[in-house]
Amino acid sequence: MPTSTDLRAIFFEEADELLTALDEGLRAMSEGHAASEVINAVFRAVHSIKGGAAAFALHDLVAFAHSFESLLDELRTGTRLPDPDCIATLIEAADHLADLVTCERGGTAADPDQIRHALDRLKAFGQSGPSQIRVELPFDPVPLAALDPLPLAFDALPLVEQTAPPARVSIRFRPHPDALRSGHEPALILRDLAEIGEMQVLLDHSALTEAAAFDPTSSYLSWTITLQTDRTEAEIRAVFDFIALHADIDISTETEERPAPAAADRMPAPPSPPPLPAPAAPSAPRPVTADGLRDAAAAAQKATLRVDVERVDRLVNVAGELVIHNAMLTDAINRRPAADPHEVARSLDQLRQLSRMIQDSAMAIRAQPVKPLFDRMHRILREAAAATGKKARLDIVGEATEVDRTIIERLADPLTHMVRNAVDHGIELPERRRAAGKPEAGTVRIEAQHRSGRILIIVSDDGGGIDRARVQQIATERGLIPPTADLAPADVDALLFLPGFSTAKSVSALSGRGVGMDVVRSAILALGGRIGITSTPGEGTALRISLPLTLAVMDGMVVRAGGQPLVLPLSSIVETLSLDGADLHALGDGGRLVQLRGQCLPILGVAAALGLTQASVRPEDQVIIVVEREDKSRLALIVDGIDDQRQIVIKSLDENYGHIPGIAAATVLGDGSVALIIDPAELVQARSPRASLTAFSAAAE
Amino acid sequence: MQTVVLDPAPLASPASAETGETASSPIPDSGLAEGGRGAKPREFIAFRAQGQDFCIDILAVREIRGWTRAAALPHAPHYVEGVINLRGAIVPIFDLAAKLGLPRIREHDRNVIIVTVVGKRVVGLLVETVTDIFSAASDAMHPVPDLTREETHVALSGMIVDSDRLIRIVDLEALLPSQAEGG
Repeated sequence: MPTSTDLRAIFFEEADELLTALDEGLRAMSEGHAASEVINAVFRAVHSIKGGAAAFALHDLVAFAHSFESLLDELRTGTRLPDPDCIATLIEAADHLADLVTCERGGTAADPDQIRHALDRLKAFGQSGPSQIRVELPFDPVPLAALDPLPLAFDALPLVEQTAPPARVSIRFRPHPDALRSGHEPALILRDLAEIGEMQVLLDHSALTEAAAFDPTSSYLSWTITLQTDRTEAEIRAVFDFIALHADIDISTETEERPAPAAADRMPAPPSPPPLPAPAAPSAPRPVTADGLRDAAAAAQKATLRVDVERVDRLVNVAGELVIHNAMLTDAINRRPAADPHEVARSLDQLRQLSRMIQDSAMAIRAQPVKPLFDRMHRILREAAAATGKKARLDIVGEATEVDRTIIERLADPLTHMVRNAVDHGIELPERRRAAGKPEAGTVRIEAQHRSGRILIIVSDDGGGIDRARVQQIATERGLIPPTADLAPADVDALLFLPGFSTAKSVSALSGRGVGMDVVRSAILALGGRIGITSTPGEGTALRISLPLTLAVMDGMVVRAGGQPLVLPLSSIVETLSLDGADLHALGDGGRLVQLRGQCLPILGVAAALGLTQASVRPEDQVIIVVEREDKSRLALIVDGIDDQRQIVIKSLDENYGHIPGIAAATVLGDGSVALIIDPAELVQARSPRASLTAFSAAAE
Repeated sequence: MQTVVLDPAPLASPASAETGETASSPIPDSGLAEGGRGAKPREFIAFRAQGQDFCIDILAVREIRGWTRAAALPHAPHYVEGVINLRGAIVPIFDLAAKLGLPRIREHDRNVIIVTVVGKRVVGLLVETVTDIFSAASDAMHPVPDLTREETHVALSGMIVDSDRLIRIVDLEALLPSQAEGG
């Protein structure tokens, strides 16, 4: 039976979905699609939230939803027209409803003034409307606790026998020592008994012997059972039919008949299954119920995932296939020692395909569409536009794109920042837009798409673009770049990501206090992603984020350095070249540069940077791997050789050890040995904090 | 769309299923802290490193494995041997002798790794050989004399005199490098 905590969690989960549907419907209405099914969908969403809230006695929520619903009802019945004013009020009300739900979920009380204000607005609007004919229906929420649990007796007594009060039968049940050996299971008997009446069981384990003399195939236990039942003794005895030859059974019916009401009182009201004693004999292992209860309690507080059943089925199917295939492969190897090696190889090949399918299906379970996340941005945009006096609308493309749930969760804050920034700094005020020949309302566009195993998210606006002269001036004022710096336009744009940079003339409450883009960048980097900015003056700005689809698996290049295997994330590698014949130059004491197509890259020996012992590899056998950092600066890493390129499973080092600078995580290679995954960005910082090439990257340090 | 509701935790990291169970297992104090509670004997597992006898509480031991080459960790203290793969979990290995200021244990096929649980972490101890399992009452445990070196003092929580042997009780908590304490 689900506990009320479970039900509560489900209510909030559903409320989220309903709020999304509500938002969607209102948006459609504001775009002029006020068809009756749209209004009905909106009405249904609010009504369902009200109904659920009433069950949990969330009075604020119910009261507000009720007023909201009344207004919607007028729309539905056609007594009011969905004019822009009305829709604006509805949208505001929907936002407030979402706030209330959030408050109730967190267990915090919503601001009563705010509630009253929102309620008053809604009511005022309702009364100002063309039609006043409204009957206030008193709605009293019924708290769930006040509802008596339905007396569902599990032993559903037939009506005819209702007249005969249940009798109390006392049964002594002692299986013979050989009962288990002849295949009897006392627990099943007890279960059958539980089905015919209210049962209390007393276990007598006094016959249990010392562990040394214990014979797991013998039965040592006996039970005294008190059964409250309307069945005859013969019926009770029938339960013991099979075990009768292997057990002592005494059945005695208590003679004095209790008055029926008293008997009913003795019955506990909730229809819980009677406690089954867990037989102590190891021959009949049963799950310990206390543990199960604890697990259930713990599960109630855990986050849950809603998954398309079809995906789970697919995973289960493939897992089943894997088991079959495992047997086939074993067969191919074992039963015929001279088996065709090709057959084994083919079988292995299929096995690899199967494991890949299992991996993909498992990932698909965690993958969720970005739609709910993107849809939340509508409200962010609306509020940002209202606060700055600008007009803006949100365009969403590719909302069905799926990505790992963790990434979606951790993307919410950066995305919020970016949308706010786009409105606050990107889109111009309506007058300026008009003067520039653009529509008054600016457009912020969020786009998601899959691209070569990563997800690409682009947040763009059609605003004024980055004012580069101003950006450079501010960066100089703050001492972030030298006054004489001569920067390319792209480098100027990248200055926005520096810590403590803000172009807003005054610190606005909206876009933070000059921490915005820096925070966005670190959040994206922490997810293993990259962020870039492009801007065209007068036409707008675009932020491009590229993220891995999952945090558990990645493509890596297995290299050797210092005599041990290491993995470089493939996403950071630009190219590889042989050290032999490369255009090398010494730079100062021990520093080296490689010249590559006119670009000078600093060289870093991986083994030395990680403090590993240098293996005696001839320099001409060594390999240069050019990696790119998030800020586009490049670095040449020297390794002793490249072994492989493959998908690797990321294993945390922090769990059992701790963080190591320059190392992102670890993985297990095909031979079972551990290889560390290098974090090129950190590796650089650990080794050469100031070895930067351009003024920008010097400033970035 | 028909959906099922899942708990995402087990899906997040397959390795946590392996190590997750350790979180709930009781972590006995390897030292003398509970010594006052009667003279109920505790069981210890005894092993050798650089010619000296050591022991840890048997309840802290998860398993004993043959030697496997560990992958070296950069920027690690000298007594950290590296990390090994224990059925999908990455487990750090500590050289007990090196931690006590003795020479490092020589690489040998017959070395043994004792996998232990410290707090919520699983760590391995590299030792030369596991000798036996014995039980000792808490009144048989003696504190480490003050004259010993700081390194020794920190890593040991007591001593047991068992017939003609002197067995040092290793303080597992003290083995972890301070760098890892935050993680």
